[in-house]
Amino acid sequence: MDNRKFIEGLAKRLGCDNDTAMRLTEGFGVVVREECAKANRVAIPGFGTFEGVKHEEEITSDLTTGKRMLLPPSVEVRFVAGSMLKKKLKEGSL
Amino acid sequence: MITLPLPEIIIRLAGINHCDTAFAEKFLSEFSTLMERTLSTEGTLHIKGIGTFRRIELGDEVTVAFAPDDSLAEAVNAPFAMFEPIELDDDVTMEMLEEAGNGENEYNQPETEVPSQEGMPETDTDILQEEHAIGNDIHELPTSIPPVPNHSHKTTTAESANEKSTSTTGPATASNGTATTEVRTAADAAVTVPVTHERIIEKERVVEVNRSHHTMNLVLTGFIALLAGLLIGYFTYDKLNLNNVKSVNISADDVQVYHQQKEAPLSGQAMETEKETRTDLSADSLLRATAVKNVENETDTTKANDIDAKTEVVTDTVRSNRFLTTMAQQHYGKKKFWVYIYLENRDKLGNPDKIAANTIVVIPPASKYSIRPGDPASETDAERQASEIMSRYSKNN
Repeated sequence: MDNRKFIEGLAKRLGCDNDTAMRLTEGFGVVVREECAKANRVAIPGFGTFEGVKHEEEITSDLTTGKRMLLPPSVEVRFVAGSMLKKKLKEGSL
Repeated sequence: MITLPLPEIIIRLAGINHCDTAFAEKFLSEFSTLMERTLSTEGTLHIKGIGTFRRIELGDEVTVAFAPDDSLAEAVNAPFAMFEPIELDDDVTMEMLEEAGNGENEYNQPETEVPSQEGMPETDTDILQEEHAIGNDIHELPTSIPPVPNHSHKTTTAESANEKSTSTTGPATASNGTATTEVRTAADAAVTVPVTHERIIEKERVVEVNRSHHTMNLVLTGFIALLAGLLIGYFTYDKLNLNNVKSVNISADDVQVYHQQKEAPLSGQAMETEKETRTDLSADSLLRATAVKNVENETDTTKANDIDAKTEVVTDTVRSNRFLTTMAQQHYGKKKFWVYIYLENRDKLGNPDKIAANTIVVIPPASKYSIRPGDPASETDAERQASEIMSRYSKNN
């Protein structure tokens, strides 16, 4: 499902227009972005957890050139599915 | 790592969207329910600004794979956007970088805190407190900026760790070690920018500046050396006699020769060359041009005859890179004729292989020894005489 259909479905379920549903979704994206940038977690019970995992700077070797590089730090955004979501997905696939 | 609890997410959402918390809570509930159903039915879901979710079945397990949206990945990595991978030498290790960081205080910088991207207050109470604080700040402007403490990276990390431990002590004990949710503090909210990377970038800047200075110094030195060389050349050119072709007297003779040639009937190429020389060159340059031309056209028998006609003595100087053979090649067109130069100067030369440098030798006219370049008989005769001379000195040795 693409973003447009998801927003339409969400608006229908919330009983609001598409713009409101879009703004709420974007607002949730802002919360996730801000917290993950701080290497924090955003947990939605029964669904899953968004977390920002910070990788410290590290020395790696470039496989193509063989040169050693000092990579800058970075933050990776991960999503860990909750046990309830996994259970429902498993039931749904059966 | 701090986990943002659901109530705080709801409050943040309500604050961002200017709606009540009940609606924000309902949104979150419907949001997760719809995502769950979509993943169950369709398997994939893309949400703009967040990312793409995909259901994955691993044997009996079913889980969700997540790929963050590009905008989300860029936004969370914005504090590190100024850093780029740096190439290191083979012998540099992480420990060395850390040690260098601890030893060099001039590069240590205070910990950089990532500012809140939206700058939104977290709760309604915070909004009121901030407004109150702003009101107070208007009346009480600071008169001076407080000094910034010079902390090293490790120190600040340790401090933040201490702050974290002290701040979590109370609630953690209150909740009997459930510890899945921690109390957020300002210190925990900061993502540190490593000092090592900044220090290396700073070092690279210094190296680049030094390199540019070095290049400028090289250019300046080269320019000064060039000027000095030009000056030295200007004042010593006449004394050095670098051309080493003829003396001034010979050039004067050449002028005479030139006049003789002009009077004598010339034919073909020689005539054209003479015409060009006559029209293009001034009196002074004519002297030089004629001398050079004489050297180049030594093979010409006509030229050799002209030289024969001269009464002036032609001399040359033996140098470390100028031997009798070199002179013979220049004056007669063949190295083999060196023997005649030797014969002409035999009283002062001795062994032809051991002639002292700076010895001035007389170049005999070609007619005196019947020197004819290109004539096999003349060349054979020269070779024969040369072998006689060489054998004489080889016997002596």
